[in-house]
Amino acid sequence: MSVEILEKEVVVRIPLDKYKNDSSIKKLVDELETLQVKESEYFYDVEAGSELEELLLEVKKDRRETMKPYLDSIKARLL
Amino acid sequence: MSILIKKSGKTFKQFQSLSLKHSFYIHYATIEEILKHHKKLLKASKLSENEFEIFESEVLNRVTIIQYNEIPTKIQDLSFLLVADIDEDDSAFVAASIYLSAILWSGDKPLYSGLHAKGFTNIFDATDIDKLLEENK
Repeated sequence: MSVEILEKEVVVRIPLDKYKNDSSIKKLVDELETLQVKESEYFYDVEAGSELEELLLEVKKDRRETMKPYLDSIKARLL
Repeated sequence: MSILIKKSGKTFKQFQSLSLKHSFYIHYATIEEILKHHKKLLKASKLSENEFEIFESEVLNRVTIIQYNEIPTKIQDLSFLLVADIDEDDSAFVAASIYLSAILWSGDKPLYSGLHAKGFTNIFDATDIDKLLEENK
């Protein structure tokens, strides 16, 4: 097994021919999967369900009201 | 706006690095949003009110504000038509980008992919900003 720490990721190489039936490897993979952060459906680099996602969604929702006069003037010109 | 949420976060660090070589612009609509959500931004920043005010000034002092009426109506209309089926509420930001011939920095996935699908590639997400910083080294 080898472990390489790069700038943005850790690469773990496990020779499967030797360990593929090893239950401890399966357990390790399961644990690593639970560590994965689920990214927001709407924003890059934002965790799904996080306080940040909630705030950004609220800002986005309120944008409709902020932009209304601006958008109304464009629509009036285009119609 | 994400820049203001976390002083120790990646977005602010990218902003700091980029501001050494690039100019930043912010649409007045974002200032309105900052004022509107000030309390929530302050809470999310985990800074004291005083610290947040200093941090906010540090960011806003490095940006130029673009007013709604500064952008020619032709560009406003074109931008609206471009994003109408993505999210019309973002059209002012796209208009500012076209007007200034500047990169639109956004982490908004539907806007990013929607604009890219239409051939507008002057919108950068955090990964694109990382690449830009690498190129600037």
